Amino acid sequence: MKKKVLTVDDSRTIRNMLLVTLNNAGFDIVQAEDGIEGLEVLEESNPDVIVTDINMPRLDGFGFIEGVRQNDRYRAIPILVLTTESDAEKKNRAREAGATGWIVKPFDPSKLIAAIERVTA
Amino acid sequence: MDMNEIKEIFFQECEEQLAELESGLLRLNDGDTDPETVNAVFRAVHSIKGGAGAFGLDDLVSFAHVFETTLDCVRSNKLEASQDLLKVMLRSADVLADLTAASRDGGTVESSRTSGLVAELEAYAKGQPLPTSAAAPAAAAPEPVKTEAPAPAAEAPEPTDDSGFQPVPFSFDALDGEDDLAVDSGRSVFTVRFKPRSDLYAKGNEAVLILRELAKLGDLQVRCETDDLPSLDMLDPEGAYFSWLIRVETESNEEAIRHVFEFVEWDSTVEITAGADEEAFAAPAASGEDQPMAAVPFDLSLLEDQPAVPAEAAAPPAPAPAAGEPALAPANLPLAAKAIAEAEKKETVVPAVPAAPQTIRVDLDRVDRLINLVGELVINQAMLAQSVVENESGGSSAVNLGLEELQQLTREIQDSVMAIRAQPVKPVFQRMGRIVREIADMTGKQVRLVTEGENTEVDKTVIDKIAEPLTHMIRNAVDHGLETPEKRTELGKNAEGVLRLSAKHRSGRIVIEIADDGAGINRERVKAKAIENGLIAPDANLSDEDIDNLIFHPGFSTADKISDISGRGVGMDVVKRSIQALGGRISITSKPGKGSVFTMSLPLTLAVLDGMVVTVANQTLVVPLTAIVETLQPEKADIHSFGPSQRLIAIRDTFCPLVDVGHILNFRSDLANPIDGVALLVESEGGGQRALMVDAIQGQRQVVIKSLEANYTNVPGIAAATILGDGRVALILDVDAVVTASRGQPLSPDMMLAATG
Amino acid sequence: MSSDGTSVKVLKLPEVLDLNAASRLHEQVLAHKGEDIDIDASDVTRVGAQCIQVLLAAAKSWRAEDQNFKVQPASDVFIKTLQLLGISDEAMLPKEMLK
Repeated sequence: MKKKVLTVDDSRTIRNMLLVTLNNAGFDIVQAEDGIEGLEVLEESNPDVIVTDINMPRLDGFGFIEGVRQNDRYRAIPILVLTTESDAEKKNRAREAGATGWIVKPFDPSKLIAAIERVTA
Repeated sequence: MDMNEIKEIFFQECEEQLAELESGLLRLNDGDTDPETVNAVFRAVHSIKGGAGAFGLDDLVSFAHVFETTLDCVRSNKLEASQDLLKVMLRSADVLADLTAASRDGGTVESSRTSGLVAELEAYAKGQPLPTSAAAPAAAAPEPVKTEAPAPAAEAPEPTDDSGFQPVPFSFDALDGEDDLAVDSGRSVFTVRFKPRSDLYAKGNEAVLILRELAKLGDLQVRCETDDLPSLDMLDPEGAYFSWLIRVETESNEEAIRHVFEFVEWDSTVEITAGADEEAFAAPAASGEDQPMAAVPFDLSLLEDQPAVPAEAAAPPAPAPAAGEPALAPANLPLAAKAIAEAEKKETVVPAVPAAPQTIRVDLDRVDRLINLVGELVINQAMLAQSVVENESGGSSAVNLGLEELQQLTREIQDSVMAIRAQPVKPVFQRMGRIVREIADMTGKQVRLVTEGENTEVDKTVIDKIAEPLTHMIRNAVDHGLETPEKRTELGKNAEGVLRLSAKHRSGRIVIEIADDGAGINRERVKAKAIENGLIAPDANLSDEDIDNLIFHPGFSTADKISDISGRGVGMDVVKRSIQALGGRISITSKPGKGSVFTMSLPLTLAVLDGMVVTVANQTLVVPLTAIVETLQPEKADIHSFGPSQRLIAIRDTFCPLVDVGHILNFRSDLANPIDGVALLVESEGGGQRALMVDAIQGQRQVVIKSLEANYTNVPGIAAATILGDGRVALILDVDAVVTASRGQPLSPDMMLAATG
Repeated sequence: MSSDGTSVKVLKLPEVLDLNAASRLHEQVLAHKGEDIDIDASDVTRVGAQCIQVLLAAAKSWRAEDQNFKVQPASDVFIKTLQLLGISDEAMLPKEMLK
């Protein structure tokens, strides 16, 4: 079965990179540009795993993660945040919000896939 | 899509982010305190950094990182966004733009520019706790290795289960069935204690997956501690009661084991000890029910999805089951795998819908080609209409109706096509912000740039061409227009000068104004300079307006010393010429001590214009409709003569100079009789109305502009040419040039440059 | 641990036994308290530790009350997950399942 990944990122560049990387790796991909759209797309796509950025307009990654975790149907979905090595503080905040794990940017495709494999059954 | 295309998207996105960054910083500079503005600015830099990192653009990343760090301090209110800081940040934004451009186009940015700003930014970030300086979590010190070496042969656990279940030591790569657990070279044994808390599960992590990951490192013996498990009715189904004691035999090091717990170290207790903890394994569980160590011999790949791609190098090959261990050998691997695959198939959900792109990128050449074709279509349609009119027999109402519709459609197509190329002037205006900062720095002046009407749209070809003259005018305004801060303070003005850049649509043209609150034109000096240069006679009697406009004369420069900024051999005459080449006009108004306003007016497009087709001395001319205020039929009583050839026409209660177009253009040597023709009341850019006399009006139509300069040569008084419906070429009148000529100056290329509408 | 055939209730487990399924599983198992039960885990494609906790607690509780509790049949994934977690409770993982 193809795993479905929901990616949430406001950067067109990163969205395209995720799209290409995950596509090549054989995943199904749904994408959203910010947390609000992410929660909307979540409802209609029921992904196996979520990859989200932190800094986004409208609703940032922390808010988005909290939103997912408060959703009765989707709260069990693993969420990986895209973060940078130096952002220990952000990583912690993301964990507090309910993030499952993180991917250090700039991600390389194999690390991204490995992280996704790691948190999905 | 490949990486190069994504890279292109990245640079495109950078442009947008840089624009966002600059406008955000400027808003902060203007006292905006909305946290979202700071957030947006932060995001812009963050986003550039993120993308740059993905493409290994290290210079860009490291500068963006420092910038981002300082912005983060502002964002988290650890640092106040003072004017001084914002100045540094605006300059940093400029450098970031340069670094981006250098990454895209090759080339480098002077390292002194970046290093200076890096130091400044870091200084701001320091003095406050650095939010991002927290060291990466140091790996917990390994627990002291037990002094007694692990007894190699004592690994086989005692049978502790009265059910007879005996864990069998198992080695994934010991295909020879060797049941000796002796630690062979390169393999070491670790004992891991793992106790999850309920948060681990609540955050989407799963002990099963952690163990699965661990099993990828080597051979496991797993003992589940279930003592904490309460009775069923007391149990919280989402609680965490199990904990595990795991013996790992692996070729990897402790670091690799710890890495498995990376995501869960916060939400669980993890202890990793080198060596086997015999006592712990030997100790019976506190409860009566003994949980034996269970070896994990089965094919773990059953528990994970088939990776859709060849798994990354880190993934071990699927462990092969050991021969000779029937009790623990997986029952039927292929069958099981198939069962799982089938089960999974049922879960397959609707195909993903990728987010639809909001825009498409089109090669400009394609749009231009389309515009050209539509231009031809317009001409063709006009010609068709004309031949139908001329061919009386074909003038049935159906044909006429069809023609009308065709005309309307053609018009709509044309508008739509033109709209594709219409773009707001915002990017050009934003570039000016940077120009202002650079010159302000160079001249030691304090300048605030205020922009208005940034969203005013104009054809892309026009936008591309206004940047250069605009840059020069901005430079000129700061360099010559504004006073030094000291001088301004002396004069009782705010030390910071204000430069106002605005754009608006006015009667089918775009009008761009550059207004400064500086000293205004020093007319004495301009006049003296003009006399010195022999541009005007020493005794010439010039109006203030005339003197002001002398600065557009070729080679004119009032700067006493050639400064870095304006000493580049580019004078306002060049600015004027390039604007005229666009079918635009420029003028200046100035008030001593109060400042100057440069106004340029440009056509919205360089492709078509609405014109009035008129006859002058048997020639067909087109007068841009935007210039015409009204048309009137002169009465004899309204015409008044004065001087040898000057005539005025009375319109209601004012007098307006009458301009004989045919005479000015040398179509005829004598003056036409006004009452035989039609007067077109026009307004020229410099203000003031003139009545242009033509012989007859043929009608109004939209014409496709064909440049005369490109196809022939610049003709004074003529802006361009067009092809009419009957296939004839008609000239488009340059109203301002004609009006200027009517002031008594002959129509000549030289004087056109000196004069202003 | 024999079953009397018809009198034994069967609880069929869903395919996915993740965090979201634990509470429901808990309720379902509790509802059968006091009666012999067979847990049918043959459809299970994914099971997390928390649902295993529920099942193991149930197994112990049934055993304490001398009732029959048995997981049978079970999918390979279910069995292998139990093995991975080091669970060897006879009720959860009857020996014949390993054969």
